[in-house]
Amino acid sequence: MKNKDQRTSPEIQPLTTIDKVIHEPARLTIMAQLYVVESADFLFMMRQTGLTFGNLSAHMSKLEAAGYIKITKEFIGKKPHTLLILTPKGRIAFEEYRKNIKEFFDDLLI
Amino acid sequence: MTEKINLKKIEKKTYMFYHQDGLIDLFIGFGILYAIFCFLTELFWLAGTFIIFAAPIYTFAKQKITAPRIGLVKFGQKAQQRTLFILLILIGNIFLFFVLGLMLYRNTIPGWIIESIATYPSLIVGCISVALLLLAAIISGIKRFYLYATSIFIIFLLGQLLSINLIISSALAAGVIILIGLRSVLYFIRKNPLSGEIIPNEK
Repeated sequence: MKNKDQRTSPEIQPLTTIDKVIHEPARLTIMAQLYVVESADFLFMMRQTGLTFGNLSAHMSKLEAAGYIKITKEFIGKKPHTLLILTPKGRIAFEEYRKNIKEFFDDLLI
Repeated sequence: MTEKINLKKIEKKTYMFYHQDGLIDLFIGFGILYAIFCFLTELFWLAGTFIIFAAPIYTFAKQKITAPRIGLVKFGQKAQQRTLFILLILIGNIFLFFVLGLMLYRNTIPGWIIESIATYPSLIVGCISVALLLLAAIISGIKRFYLYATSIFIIFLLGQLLSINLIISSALAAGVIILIGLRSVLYFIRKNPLSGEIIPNEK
């Protein structure tokens, strides 16, 4: 049985290397947003991405599991506060993703 | 994935989003008023103390007004430099009043400066303020600063043409900035009401 990469047409082969964790639109938005700031809290991310609480939580969990973001919890006064930070691994992965996508579209001839 | 992801644009938009609350405007407006107060009371040295007590008030207001509505964000070095530049503009304005006041007090201003200031007082101060505000607008991307630059230009030009006292023109300019800042704060509060929803600290 051929493996997946061998069955893929060489023209679209680069797409198979695209990071699927980042490629999902909502997660891409989160990553892009966190890339341009040092850190942001949960409320700020909800406002900026337009995602609901549940949606953002789910995507955050996936990004955290991949090691792309770090979630820290603290208390400001008596209120809980969730802070999101893009990890160095996440920063590299995002830059790599941008590079791969750009290369793919640059090479795409119609 | 055909749309370009412009990270610089995202960064600038985020910065503008975070400063839409109008607090920085109030900070600048009251800074100018404070400088005028120091100038009038001849306590020029006091002008520099504005930052000492205003900075904690600004941080406190940001935590009480902005953070519960749109959340908290910490910007990278570039954006922090932008904020620093805006603060420098405020300090620059205060410093201008301070130096002018000190020189007047000690009678050490060179003759040609006194002559220029005596002939075109409003125009000179107005042009310097407009240039600084335009720089702040370009660097920060906050569009309200263009409005301030235009308003201040009109105020000081009219002040020159109608021979209005420089202090009155400056107070008017500060008043415009404070009024627009207050309007921005109220608009921000109305546009971003405190939701009853508690943001849990769980994933």
